[in-house]
Amino acid sequence: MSGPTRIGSGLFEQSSAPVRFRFDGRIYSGRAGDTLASALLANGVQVVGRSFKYHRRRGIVTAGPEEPCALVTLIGPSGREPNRPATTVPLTEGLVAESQNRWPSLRFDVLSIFGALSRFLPAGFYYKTFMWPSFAWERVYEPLIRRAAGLGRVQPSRSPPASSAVTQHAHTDVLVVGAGPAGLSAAYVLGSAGLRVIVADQDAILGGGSALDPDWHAWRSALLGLLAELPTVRVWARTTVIGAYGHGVYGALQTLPVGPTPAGSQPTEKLHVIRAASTVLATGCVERLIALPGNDLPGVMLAGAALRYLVGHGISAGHRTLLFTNNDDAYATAIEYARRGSPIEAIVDVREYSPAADRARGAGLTVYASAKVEAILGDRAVRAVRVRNREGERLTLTVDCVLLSGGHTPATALAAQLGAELRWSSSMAAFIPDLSPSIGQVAGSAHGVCGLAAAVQDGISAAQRIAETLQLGELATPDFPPMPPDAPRADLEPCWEITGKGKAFVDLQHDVTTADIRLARREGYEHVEHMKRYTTHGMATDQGRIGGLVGNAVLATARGIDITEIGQPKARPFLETVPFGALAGEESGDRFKPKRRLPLHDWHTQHGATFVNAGLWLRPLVYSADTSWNTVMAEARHVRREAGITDVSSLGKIEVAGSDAGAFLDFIYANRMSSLAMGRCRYGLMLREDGIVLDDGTVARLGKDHFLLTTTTVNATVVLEHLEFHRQTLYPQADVTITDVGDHWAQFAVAGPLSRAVLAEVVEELDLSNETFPFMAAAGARIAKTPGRVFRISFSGELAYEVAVPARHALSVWSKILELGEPLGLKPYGLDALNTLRIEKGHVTGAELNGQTSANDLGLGRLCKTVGDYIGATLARRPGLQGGQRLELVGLRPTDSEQRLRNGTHLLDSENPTASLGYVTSCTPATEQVGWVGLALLSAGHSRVGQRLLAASPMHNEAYDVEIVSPHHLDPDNIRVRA
Amino acid sequence: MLRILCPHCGVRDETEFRYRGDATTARPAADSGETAFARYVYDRANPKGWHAEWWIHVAGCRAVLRVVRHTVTHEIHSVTLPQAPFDIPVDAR
Amino acid sequence: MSAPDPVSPLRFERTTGDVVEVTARRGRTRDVVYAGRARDLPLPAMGEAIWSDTFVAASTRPDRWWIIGPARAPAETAARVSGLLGTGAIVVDQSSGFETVDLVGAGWREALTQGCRLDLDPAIFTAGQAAATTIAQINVIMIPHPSGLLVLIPATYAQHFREWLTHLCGESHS
Ligand SMILES: [Zn+2]
Repeated sequence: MSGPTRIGSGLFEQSSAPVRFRFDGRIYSGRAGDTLASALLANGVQVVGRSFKYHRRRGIVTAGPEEPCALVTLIGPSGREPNRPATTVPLTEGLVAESQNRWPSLRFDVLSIFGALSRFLPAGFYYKTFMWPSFAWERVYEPLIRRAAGLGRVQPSRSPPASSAVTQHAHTDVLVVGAGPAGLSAAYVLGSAGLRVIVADQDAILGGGSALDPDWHAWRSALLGLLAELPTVRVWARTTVIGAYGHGVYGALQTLPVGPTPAGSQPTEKLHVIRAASTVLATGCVERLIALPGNDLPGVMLAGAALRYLVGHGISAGHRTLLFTNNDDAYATAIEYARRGSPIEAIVDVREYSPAADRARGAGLTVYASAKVEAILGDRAVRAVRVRNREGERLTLTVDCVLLSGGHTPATALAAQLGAELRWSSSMAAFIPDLSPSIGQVAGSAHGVCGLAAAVQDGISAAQRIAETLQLGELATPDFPPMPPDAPRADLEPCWEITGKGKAFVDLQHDVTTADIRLARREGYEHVEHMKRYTTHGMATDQGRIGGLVGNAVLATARGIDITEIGQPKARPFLETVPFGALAGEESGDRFKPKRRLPLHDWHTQHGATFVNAGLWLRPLVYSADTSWNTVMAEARHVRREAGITDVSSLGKIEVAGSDAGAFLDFIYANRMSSLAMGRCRYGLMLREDGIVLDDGTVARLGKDHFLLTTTTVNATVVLEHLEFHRQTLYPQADVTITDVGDHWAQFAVAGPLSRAVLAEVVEELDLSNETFPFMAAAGARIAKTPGRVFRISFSGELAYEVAVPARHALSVWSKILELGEPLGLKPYGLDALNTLRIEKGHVTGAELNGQTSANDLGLGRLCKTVGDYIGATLARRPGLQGGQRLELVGLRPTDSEQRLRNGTHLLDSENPTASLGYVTSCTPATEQVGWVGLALLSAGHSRVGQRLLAASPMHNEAYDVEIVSPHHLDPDNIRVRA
Repeated sequence: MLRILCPHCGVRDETEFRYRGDATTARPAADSGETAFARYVYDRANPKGWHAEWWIHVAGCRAVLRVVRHTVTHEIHSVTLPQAPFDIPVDAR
Repeated sequence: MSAPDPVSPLRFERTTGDVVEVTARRGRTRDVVYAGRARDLPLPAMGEAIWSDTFVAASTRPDRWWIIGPARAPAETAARVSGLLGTGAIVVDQSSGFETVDLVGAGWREALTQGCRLDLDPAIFTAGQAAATTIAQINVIMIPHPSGLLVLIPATYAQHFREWLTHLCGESHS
């Protein structure tokens, strides 16, 4: 019998009742309180995955998020979630998981042939081998590599349900990362002083090292109890701080306990966005491996992980275990194994002496001092180790489990993101971070402090230093529960690599060996960042946490420099794998973006409208489920022949008031507004400062110092900001008030030859006759008994009005107009018909106001003021915007009236069709004529009116002749609008 | 994420603001000619270090703010209204 | 942060009120504030709100105020406010521009941490204050009062916001 097994109960066990789960199709049983990893170990499952490159058999190496090997895909009701470390997955009844990166099965992996070929698969192999011929990359190499080298597969279907994650915003005085003795102590001091504190710990079991040391259990429970009583302290377990984003902002991902309600109906993850005035990074350390031949065999585990499985879950990682260490901390595992009756074959320590070795010998254990493990032997799993003792003799010891401890590296990723300075600690053989006091403090073992009692003291002083930075004076230190003293200890002796025959891994997830590191250096990739990218050392889900420094040390040795000079690769978010769904939170599906609804949205719905998304708006496209040209053209022709009403409430509406309003608008618009008479409207054209058109709309003068501007729907917010920016930066002393009234006013266009007759039925206090209310007039009036405004403006090219009423009254007014108008021939029309009508008339919208067209290009140059300053005045006159080969607005129609047009179709010289001269921007079937009409932006277009060009759309396999005409297909002399 | 101290609203998340580019330049006088305007519209120092930028507090008080920010560290030196005097620190880094 | 109170579940009501946007013209702020004080329409400082029997006045922009009162005939409230504050004020009726929602129940602060980026701790943000900010990607005005929160939502976003609130309130009950 060999392999891991459960030999008793553990501290983290919640009950001994069985929890059933499925792994790779087989049903197993674990206990409440297990992780998936501990449950697999308890069932003797030793191989849980295949490695990335060589497809070597791999077991569970760690007990936390630093796990490089035991990555699984979880299969739940909401889909497949790949790349979860089994060491962090809480075991739940009915959990289903699969191993990854094996094909067709874990036991028999065809691609493990890569292992046999490994001398042909050095670092950079993919880059070197698959370079030529280039076509083969796409067709042959990439699919092969993707199949062979992938981690887990992302679910190909849609994202998980919207409810699977929520985002929550938090504010705190101090964020404490890590709930070990240092973090808890800092939080206790700060919270006792009334500061708001959030403690976040990635673990389900709080307490860090104090949770695994029986002598510290009383202290740990007492302190957690004291913290729970502090009203300003929040302690979050299972919450990983995944990144620091500057200015005291942190992201933290909390895994929520799965409750009894049906899975998928409640959030499983919470993303906290935390804003903190200061922080305590008590992030602890990560144990590191030792690079030596065979260090990746199933049965090799880090010593600290083994202690956790034993104390927390009652699991022994082997039946005959050997510990190979260079430090004191790892002895605790061996001593605890022996105490619980799990045989320890020997402890091999590279050091000559340490007090811990004396304690182990006192407990009856064999310690080889000044010795090393030269190789771990085995084929499918650990079988034996070859030890070289102090005297230089080689011994082969038969074991089924090897515990490694190469020392402890402070978890610096978060500190590094916060710009921490790193200093080398020779007693830990690791870099230790120091934060700028304005950002926070590092405390505990992450701060290079050894021992739990020392960590408590360090946490307390970190809290005091924070109080000092926040200028709170010295905080009273509350009474702490009694704690045991730290045992005497010796420093570690650095031990990065035991050289020998066989692969010695520094990155188990990416199969990076010490030989790969040296190869990278030989080939010129000797900077630590270059080596990382060349070898993939330290990448992907585990970020190489257990071997990162080891690989860097190997590089330093190869370069002949001290490790302190090698530097550290830049750390970036995230600290661990984060599901996309957790980042999206609730902002997915219907809640991805807010929806803006017209005041008449419900009316449009009830009358059969098909809606279209226009930015955030939902606008009625056509009043039919049938969105074909037939229904659209029926609506449009009805406007041309009788009358139609359409909802234009989405237009931007801005009031500009004050004695300087006219002058200000003269600066904003290219054409003059101060000369506008009261009760009149004017078309308005705005340029950007570079001379390109920004937006167009109308300006109505409602009073001497009172103007109302409309903007296009899409540019409403842009124009408002444009006005406010120039008002605040260039006209700070002017008497100008800008007020956004876009949502207050509902606005309807009533258009068509019968529109005056229709409106006469509902408009009071205003004579609509041509004499008193001519084209471009504006006035207040009562519309269907409601005080509002009437504008005689036309976007359709017909006799038309726009009426505006407060949106609260939109439904009653609209309904009344239709009720009284219908007998006269009034019908509603949608956005598509509106577009047809404006294209025929030659009015421009977003397709033509595309951020590249000038007023001249659009045939609007004559509107621009020739004297006085306005935005864009100077640069609109620059030579580059004048004539030449610029794309200018024209109209066009196919010579064959059977031929349809398409947006984006290119226009070419049919004699010499080698270069595009322009393209179709908008097109529609004509309302009154046969065939299609369109607008185009055409090189030197104004001079080409009357020419024939070739229109080509290769995507549709179309090429046909078009005639270039004026953009005003309909009523160029404005007779209709003035009727 | 930047946290910007709006002089009216207090500290707010960057997401409440709209960025509007370089705040070190001033619009030339109307008769300054094309070259001056071209410089105003197109020429940007793009400094690695301290820089003044316009940020509009669109979701709050709608004030146009001049934010002096370090483009490498994101440290914010000052947030002021457009007419207030401002200084751009000399970067010792 | 107050814990959700199981006795008074989070709920919200649409209130039909009139909303008026008042801006002091350049250099006339003092005139407008004096006029308001003299005529029973006291105008608060930036970031604050004043609750009286007839109106709630709140300021989330310098020299600007939201006046919220009971619904009257179209533009009547605006005309009345304009009459009270005099020619130094630009008064714009926004009654149809905003929907007002009253969010009540002890759990509103905790619930709104989903979607609202402000610090809602009662020691920081409480009755007598007002803030313009973003909730669930929508720009809103928040005016807390002793039993809850008044929210002004731009009218065309209101349905979306209410759907979001319904979802939120449902969640806080479960
Ligand atoms: Zn602000």
